[in-house]
Amino acid sequence: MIGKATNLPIRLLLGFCFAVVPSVSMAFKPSDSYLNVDVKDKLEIRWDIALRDLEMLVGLDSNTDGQITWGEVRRQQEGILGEAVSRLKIMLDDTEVPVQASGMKLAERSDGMYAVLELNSDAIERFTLMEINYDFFFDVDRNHRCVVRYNGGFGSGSYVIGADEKTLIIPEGGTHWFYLLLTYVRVGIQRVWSSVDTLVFLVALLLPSVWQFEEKRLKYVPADGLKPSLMGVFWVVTSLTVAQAITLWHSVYGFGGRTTQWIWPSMAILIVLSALHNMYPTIRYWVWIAAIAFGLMLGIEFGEFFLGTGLPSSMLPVSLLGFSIGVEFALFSVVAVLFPIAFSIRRTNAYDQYVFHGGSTLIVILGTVWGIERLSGSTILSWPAQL
Amino acid sequence: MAERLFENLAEFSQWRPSIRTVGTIRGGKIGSESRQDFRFVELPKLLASFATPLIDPTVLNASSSLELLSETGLNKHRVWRNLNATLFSAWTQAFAVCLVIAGAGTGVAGEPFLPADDSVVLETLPDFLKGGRKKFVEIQEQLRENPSDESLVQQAAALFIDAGEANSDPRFFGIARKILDPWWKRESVPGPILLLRARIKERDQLYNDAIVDLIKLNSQQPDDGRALISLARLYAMQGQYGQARDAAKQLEEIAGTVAYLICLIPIDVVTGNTKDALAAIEMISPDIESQHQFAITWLSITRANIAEIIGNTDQAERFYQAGLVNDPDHLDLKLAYADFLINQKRCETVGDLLKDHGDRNAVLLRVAIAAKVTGDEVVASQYTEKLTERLEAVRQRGDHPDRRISARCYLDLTNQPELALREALANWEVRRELEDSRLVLRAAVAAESPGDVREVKRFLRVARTEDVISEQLISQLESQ
Repeated sequence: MIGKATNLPIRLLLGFCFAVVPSVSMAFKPSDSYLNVDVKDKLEIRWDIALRDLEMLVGLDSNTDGQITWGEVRRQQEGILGEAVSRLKIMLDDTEVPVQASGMKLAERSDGMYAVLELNSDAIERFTLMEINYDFFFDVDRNHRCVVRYNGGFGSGSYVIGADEKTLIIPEGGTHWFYLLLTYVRVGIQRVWSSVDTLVFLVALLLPSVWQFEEKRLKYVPADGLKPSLMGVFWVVTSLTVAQAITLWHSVYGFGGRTTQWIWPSMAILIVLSALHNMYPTIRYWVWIAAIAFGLMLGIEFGEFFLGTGLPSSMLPVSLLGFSIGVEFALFSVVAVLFPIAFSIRRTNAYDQYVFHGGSTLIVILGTVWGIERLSGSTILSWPAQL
Repeated sequence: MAERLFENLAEFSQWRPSIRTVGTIRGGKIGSESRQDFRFVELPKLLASFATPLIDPTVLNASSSLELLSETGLNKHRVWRNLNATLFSAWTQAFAVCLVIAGAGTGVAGEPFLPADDSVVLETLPDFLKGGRKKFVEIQEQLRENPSDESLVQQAAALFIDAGEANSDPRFFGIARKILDPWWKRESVPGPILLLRARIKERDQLYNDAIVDLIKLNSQQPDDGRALISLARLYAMQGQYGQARDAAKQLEEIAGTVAYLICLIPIDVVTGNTKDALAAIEMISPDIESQHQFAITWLSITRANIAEIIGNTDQAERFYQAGLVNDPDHLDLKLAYADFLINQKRCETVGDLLKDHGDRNAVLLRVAIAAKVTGDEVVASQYTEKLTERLEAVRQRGDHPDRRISARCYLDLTNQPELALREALANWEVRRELEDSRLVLRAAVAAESPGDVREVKRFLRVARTEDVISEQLISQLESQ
């Protein structure tokens, strides 16, 4: 015997543990479900859910004998389908697509038997983004995941949904680089079109683009020719895009994570200064300076978005390139609409008084309000915050 | 045997009210954290886990990486958020945590079918769920009603962790993880919850994170032996033998010599102190044989391991046989013996040895290897296919399969020594038990890549590990 022997009843627990080695096949991995989404003229979905998980969720073993039979599963079919369908929501371009259960079968996977739920939607049209909102079993098991296999019309991809975020966005073409590029071109376009800041700033830049700056008189006068004006606009807009691309790439690959709160008031101030400069021009190259400065700030802001996406690094170059192309395209689409109108009426008093000065004044007011809001954190205008 | 089990169960339930009935959870308080409770309840269990390291967790959970992604800074500015309420916010949120796994499928699944008969059994539930889900539902309801009741949370989480360990079923760890969610990232956590958190992290092979929690627990409650035992085990597992010895020594002061030696012997075995380990075994044997019969099997495994290490295979065989006579159904013992037989190229009996232990990965692996060696191609290919399917299913969910198993699968079953070496080295980065070092060396021999194992050789030299198997492998590597 050992002098200082413990009087622990060690054998109790160990005897217990050793004696009850489980004899049945046990799960070898955490809980997963498998969602196979086929995009055809409608959505065809196969959703495999482990019977083990369904037992915990809805209760299958009705005679409590520790075995799940097909009869027990079949009797619960309605409950299973109802529970599952209520936990899955699919949106195509922000419009919910209802799915109906068309049947339930079984399939064996390497860790046990799964219920195979067959779901279908009504006919669908082309879309850009599919959003899958999946909220199944996370309230029971933190480690549950959903392995999604997406088969789109143009490509496919595999994804995993976890408890930290239950929403998955899939480009229509899946993860193929070409469709990723196209998707991000579209995202870039939509980003600019939905950015009131950028649009207002662009208008402030475009207003004097059909005029020319007379340095001696510090004044804008209507431009003579179309080509110099158009080329000027082209290079100014391109410089804005290039500037935003520089800081966008730098943010994503370089100094991401720094605070960018100063960007928003600075943008508002720059909008105000640009509009004021229209009315009281002083600097010959102001338009260039402002475009580049705004572009740099815009890129940092976009970079914050990209850092937050959690996109795998292998996909970042293509998506950033597509995004920048989209930004350029969106800016020119605005120019394509506004510039011809402005150019055609550039010599009229209406343009001078109402459009140029009136518009610039309005932009000054708007920019000032935004600046105050962003510096103080208060809300003065309900617009455009509720757009 | 049955009588002993009955007695053990009765006494066990006396000390473990949380297991006895679910009803005790409601409004009940978990046992106090006194030294008395520790001695009578927790220490034996942890000693058990120290002594039974052979059943591997299958999955390394990547939830931490998911959480990391979700914490990535998102745009919080009001205007930005509002302007992009539709498309962009969705993008931002979704990609924040969705891992894209290029080229992965959705797991190997059989064709959907409908059974012909209602009586067809589709699934056999683990012990915990036998008797219906009433117990599970009750616990969930109580947790919903009292989400901030720490003792309830603690008791419920412990119940599922115990079930996970007893059934070797990671699903139960996911449920426990969910229960502990509010405390998962907190700095200030009550001791019992720290311990539970550490157990889950250890299961996910997040050893460093588990050690951080255990050190915190030890500083909160220095006389809590549970933290010390776990620390000793984890340090030893990582090859940090100095810290492991310190923890074991500290344990001796509060739990006595047997507990200390049970922690110390596995450390001595791999640090060139096999004689000390044998002496310690001799010292505690009378105690164990008279008072702690359960540990006789552990003694058999340890003695056999030592015999293998010093190259006395006949003696190892005798110890394994003696262990099997004492406890014919002990899975850890059988797995260790199966490895011994495989190493000895005596694979004919491995299938029979493990035939009653279901199809756990650890069992599948050894039976498949043995079948391959004996030329039973049907069994070998069938089991290999099943095992690789399972490993692939784990990868598809964004986790790493247990690399000890995947490395052996590549090495011994699918003839991919380079992949085996990569997996074995990755495993060795987190786990440095003798088995892991041997695995790296074996893979390096097979891959004819001696340059990749310098660190392992240096580690074994510094630790003064005396292992004839490793030495033979190193000689082979050097001759290459």
